[in-house]
Amino acid sequence: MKLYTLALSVMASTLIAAPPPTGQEPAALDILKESDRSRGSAAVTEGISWAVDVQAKDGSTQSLISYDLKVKGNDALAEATAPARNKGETLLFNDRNIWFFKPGLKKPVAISPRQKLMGQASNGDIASTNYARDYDGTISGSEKVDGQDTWKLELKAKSKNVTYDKIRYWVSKKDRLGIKAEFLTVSGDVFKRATFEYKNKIENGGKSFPFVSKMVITDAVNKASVTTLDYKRPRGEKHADALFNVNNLIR
Amino acid sequence: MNRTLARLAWRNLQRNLRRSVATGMAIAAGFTAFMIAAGYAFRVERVLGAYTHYALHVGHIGIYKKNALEMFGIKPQQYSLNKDEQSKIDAALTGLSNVDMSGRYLIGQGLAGNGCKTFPFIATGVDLAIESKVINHPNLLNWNPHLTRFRQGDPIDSFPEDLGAIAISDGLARLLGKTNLHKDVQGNKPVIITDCASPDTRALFASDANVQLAAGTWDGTLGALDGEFVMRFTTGLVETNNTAITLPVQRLQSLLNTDHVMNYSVWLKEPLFLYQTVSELRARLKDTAPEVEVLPWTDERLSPYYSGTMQFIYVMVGFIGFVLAVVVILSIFNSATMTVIERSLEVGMFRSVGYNQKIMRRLFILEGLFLTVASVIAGAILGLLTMWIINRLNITIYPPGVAGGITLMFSPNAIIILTGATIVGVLGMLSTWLAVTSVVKKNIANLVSGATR
Repeated sequence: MKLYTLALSVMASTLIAAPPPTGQEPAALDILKESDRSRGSAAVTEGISWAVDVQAKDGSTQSLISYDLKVKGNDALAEATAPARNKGETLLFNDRNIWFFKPGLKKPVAISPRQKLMGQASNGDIASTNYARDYDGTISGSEKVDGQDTWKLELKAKSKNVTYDKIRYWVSKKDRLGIKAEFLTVSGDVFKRATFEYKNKIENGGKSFPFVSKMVITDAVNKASVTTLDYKRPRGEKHADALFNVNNLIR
Repeated sequence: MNRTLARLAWRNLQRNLRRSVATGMAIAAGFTAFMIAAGYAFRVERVLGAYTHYALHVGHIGIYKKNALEMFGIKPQQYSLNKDEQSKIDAALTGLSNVDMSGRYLIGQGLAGNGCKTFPFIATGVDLAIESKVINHPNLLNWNPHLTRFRQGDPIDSFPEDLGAIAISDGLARLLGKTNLHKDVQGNKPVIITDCASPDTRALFASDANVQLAAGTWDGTLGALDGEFVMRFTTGLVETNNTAITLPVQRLQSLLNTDHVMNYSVWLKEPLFLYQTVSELRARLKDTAPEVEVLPWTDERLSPYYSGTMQFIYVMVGFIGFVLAVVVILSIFNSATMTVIERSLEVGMFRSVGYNQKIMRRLFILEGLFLTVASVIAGAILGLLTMWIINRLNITIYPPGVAGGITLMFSPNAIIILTGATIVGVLGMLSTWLAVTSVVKKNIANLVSGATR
């Protein structure tokens, strides 16, 4: 009897863990939710922190700015830590609204996620990615990218206050990680391209999963204009809700 | 002899009064139309000229980095004047006798915020040392009184530097909900709005004069600073009235994190010597700052609005002038031809008693001249009267793109009127000469016998 029960449970667990039958594609929304997790979105429900260095190169000119990020749900707080001139400057992401504040300013300034932060990086690029929330996605096909089998997704903005109007996004079938993206204008022209690496790990509930370590954004026309976002020290951290209140920026 | 001819010519004009009056009225009406069109063109030229020089801070001469007018918006760092070039320009301007004043200017764009919402702005960083003199220049106030009608508050140079005084166009101030100026809410601390969705936010926006300006710095990061709303103004143009901000050039440099300026604007004591001064400046900067270009304000790239509008108006006035010329030529030619044919017997009689062809031609030309002069005088009186009445009516018109409309005004100009009258007089005499010359040449016997009719 014991043997029978064991055999049944082994069969049941095998059935549950089995991949979907061949030819049956998962929903685009599910793919996006999983790929978003490795780019900071809802990775850890109580909060997550990481640091990011944004380095912009355009021919001979080069600039660097570093941020410490604290993320909880749909809110994020990015505080500049270097260079000294920018130290203390803060970007607060409340859902889709972004506030900019710097020491000495009497009130915070509402800015757009589309506005350039530095080089090719927009404000919306440094915080957590929530493509599943912000975009309607459809799977337009399968392609091999750098030897990996990927789904090619076409994403269309649900509202105007998101970072990009349209995105072409390649997500690996094996790990469900976003590998490559093309950012498009309303008319469908590519104006920026990005590639992603996932060498970081983050723990959640005793499980470890990959976390974005590098995002390289290149201008579609001016190939010499490249901005690299290096993500460092991702970790789960408890953040108080008050941290993300815009009124607390002026302290 | 001449007096007799003149008397005869005047009397002859009255012989067929109906024809003379009809011809004269056609010329007078045409001249009135020409005068009104020229009066309008003259006024627009003066209004736009003063607007371009002073309200837009273009000056009479602009000094820019080469190709800056095309490239500054794309690569501001590369196409702006650095500190070294600024000192060379300062040195070149020193001692130029025709220079009245000069200032450094910078343009920047970003977002202006009220604590809840932001709106795009285009800021002009102005040289405070001369700003009051520029915006209160008699030429600007005389020709553009509508600009000052919408100007409220005190100039930014009348406040201490640490206040961060800025002037905001009325359209942008309205968008930001800033209905009160610094002087109206003096002493109020900036109000932090905790709930931007609350219905009383409009009142809260108006309860202080504080705004924030955020912009991408020239080194690629994000910059922001506070501004105190001390003056409201109108740009006069719808397309800029919702976005314009004026602040000290140093404040804009601080926002954009640069010590560069976009250009120098130079105002002349005697604008008639514009090209001479431009050449002199070019010669002075040729060796010391070869990457700098000196442009007269008449360059279309410096004053596109002025150039575009005036080209259209000149075409319009030119067309009216052409129609007037055709009216004068045809009317006089027609009238003179009919007269000379009707009076061929009389011409023959005069010729037979000793009046030669030259005298006869002169008689008819004098008739044409009298008719033209009388018509031009009548047309001028009618034109002046019409312009005077319209000017008195204070009619506001709303041309496309002009914020708040403008008062329809005409400015008659003596030189234009006299030139027009001279041209009409010459055309009248020429037409008469053309019409009569073949008839008076004819044989006396044929003229007397009526064979030429």
